[in-house]
Amino acid sequence: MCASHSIRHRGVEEWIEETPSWNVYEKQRSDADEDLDEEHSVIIEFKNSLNEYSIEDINHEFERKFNRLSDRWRQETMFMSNANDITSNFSYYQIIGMGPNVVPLILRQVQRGEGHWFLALRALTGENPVIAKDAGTLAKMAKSWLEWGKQRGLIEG
Amino acid sequence: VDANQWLRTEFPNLSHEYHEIKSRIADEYNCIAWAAHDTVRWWQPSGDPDHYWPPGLPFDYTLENYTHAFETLGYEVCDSESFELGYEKVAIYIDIHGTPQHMARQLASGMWTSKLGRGWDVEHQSVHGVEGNRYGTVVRYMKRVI
Repeated sequence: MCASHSIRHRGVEEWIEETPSWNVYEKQRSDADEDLDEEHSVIIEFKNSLNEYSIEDINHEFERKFNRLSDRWRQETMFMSNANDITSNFSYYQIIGMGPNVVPLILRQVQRGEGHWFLALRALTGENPVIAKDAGTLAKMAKSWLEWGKQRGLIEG
Repeated sequence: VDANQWLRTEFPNLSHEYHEIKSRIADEYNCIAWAAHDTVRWWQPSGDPDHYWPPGLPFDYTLENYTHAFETLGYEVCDSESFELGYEKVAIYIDIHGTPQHMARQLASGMWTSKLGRGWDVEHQSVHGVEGNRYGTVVRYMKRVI
């Protein structure tokens, strides 16, 4: 804000002295415009970069990340006989950290007969569709979760 | 990675004896279940609803608890790994902390079979084939009449 906007009482000389010259004003405005132009160009650049990636690209990258992490998790836990060790794996934690959007990808793995996803599904959804008598039997637990996923349109039937 | 090479890296003792992969990779059951002839459940004393443990037994990872689990199937503790006609034997492996990590079952041929984690069922010449850093060593044998 320039000093001429001050509302305190003062003499004209004082006012003239404190008021920036037009040149200074112009310079300030020009600097501000340059800053704005710079901001605009950053915004435009950002928008253009976004345009280079379609929603499909973003989905593919999300899926690629999931596949990368699940492959690593599988490899690192292949010979473990204790399921607590299998799910206490950093890649497994990272998959849960990808949030609820990862649920359909996990359900697809369950569809292929992969186990040890039920803890992640429970953590991500806050639900457990498995009835007590089926607990412990992978095929039955998988069936319950797949049914749950189909009802919500998360996987195809 | 070649599966056999991977096996020999994880279980160096297998490099010195006959062994053969006999199944696909299977997540449905683990080595304890496989020793108990169960191929649909994951046996583990976790108390987690995703796992099975014989009813009435505690949820703790001790040699005694695993022994009791197999007693419910008719096994009793025995002295050695040697093949005895008319009996089926199982072996319990523990790590350096005393925690059971693996079980193997003797086949009618005298060879042993192990489910390796979430991986394959593997036949191996001796019970010591899968001993090592991962599963530890065999400390208990059990047998039952077949």
